[in-house]
Amino acid sequence: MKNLIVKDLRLATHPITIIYYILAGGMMFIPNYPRFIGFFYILIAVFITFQTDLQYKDREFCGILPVSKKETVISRTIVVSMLEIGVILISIPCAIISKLVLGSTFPENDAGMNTNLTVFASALVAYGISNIIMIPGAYRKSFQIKMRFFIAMFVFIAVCGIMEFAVSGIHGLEYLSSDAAADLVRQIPALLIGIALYATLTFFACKKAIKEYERAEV
Amino acid sequence: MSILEVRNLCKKREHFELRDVSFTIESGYITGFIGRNGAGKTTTIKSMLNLTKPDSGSVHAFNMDMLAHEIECKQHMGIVLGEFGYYQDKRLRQITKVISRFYDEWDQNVYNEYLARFDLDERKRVKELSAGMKVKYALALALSHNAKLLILDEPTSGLDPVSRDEIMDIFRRVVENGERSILFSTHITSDLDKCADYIIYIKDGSIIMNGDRESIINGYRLVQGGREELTAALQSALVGLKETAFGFTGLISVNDMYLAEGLQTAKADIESIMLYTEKEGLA
Repeated sequence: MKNLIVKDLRLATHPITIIYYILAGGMMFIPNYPRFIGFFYILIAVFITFQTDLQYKDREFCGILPVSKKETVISRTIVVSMLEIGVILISIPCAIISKLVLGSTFPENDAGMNTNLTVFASALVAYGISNIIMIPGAYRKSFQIKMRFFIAMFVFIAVCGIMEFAVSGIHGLEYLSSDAAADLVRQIPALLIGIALYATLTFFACKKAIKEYERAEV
Repeated sequence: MSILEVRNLCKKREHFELRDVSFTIESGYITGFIGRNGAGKTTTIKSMLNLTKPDSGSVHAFNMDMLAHEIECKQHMGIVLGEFGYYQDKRLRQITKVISRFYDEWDQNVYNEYLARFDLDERKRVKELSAGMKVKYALALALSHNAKLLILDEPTSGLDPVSRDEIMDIFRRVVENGERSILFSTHITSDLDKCADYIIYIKDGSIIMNGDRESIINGYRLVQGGREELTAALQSALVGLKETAFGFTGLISVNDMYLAEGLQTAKADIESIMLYTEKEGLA
């Protein structure tokens, strides 16, 4: 499994992912900017990685190695999770530095939610849903990643939009948009729910993808 | 000693069916797997390797059930599906570094020896290699983890005659010590004359010939004669017939040679056997 993860990171993951990471971290420093945009780029990186599998004949490449189809899918799901969780982990210090440097000039984000735990929780849920749409599609008998990426893209935007609308439009949920220390503590349950949903959705995405890949022809 | 045993492999597709494919690969020999394009060579190989799930049948490699012990079996196999077309933009060094991690018996010294012997430059990207070099690179990878069985699907199909001849020489050297075997599929029958010990011939998803090359070749004769010499009995005994304005040529089993008495005959080769056998199907 470890070898397959190394294979995916060294050979299969598209180099543009690094640019997306820089963009996602850098966007935390843009005042009055929708915070979900940076996270969205990784969705594109995941799509490109699956798309280049076709060009690189990755399925066949894995087929000649001493690994099972199940391991191939699990390792790829782990790599996708690493990309998704990685961008969140990079965004956290960027958000803290941004707050320390720009917080006095731009105390509030006029373009949506402030960077806080709810934003990370929402991004995780959106990633989880995207995974359940995209990952099984990449291992189907007939490769279906393009259409599924477009669906995942709209779902991602919809989830983030709903969250933005909910925290600003529903009375009593305003604390979910705040980045004040006291409110961040109150947002911890939201983050835990986000993590739990992400883990569950990604687990089922992997399970479904294994089933699809066992039926598929390489 | 057999190192691969395929039994009653079946796979049904929309316009094609693999029917009860069975054969055995002996240790220390080269086996040529022949058939026309679309006859079922790749489907058989992919079904054996669990890249395509067979509907029924069994595959045993190194005395293990291939499906149940896929990873252990593939540790001892070198698999080449066509030319090496993976990760075209990556350098050989990057790919080798990744692949070597998967094999318990990877030997970097052996790999370096093959690189030198095949004149391969590790700094090159896959897309910069010629078709022959890609095959050699795939062979270098396959031979560096002490693979006991090389399974090669159409390894020579994109190569010029000189490169093919070179690859055939490499094949002979690989099996020299009797510890390794090669199963390679091809539709280029002249390659088999140079190196194959055994022949498996697949037609329309079924194995129609399976045995050592000499026995197969010696089992047939090419027969030639004038139109008036083509009797009804002879015609029905011929495996494939080519008629011209002056006469006919055909392939006949040595068991039916008494029907061709007095006619001009010649030794058959794999190409003529395949040609006339396929012709018979079209008649």
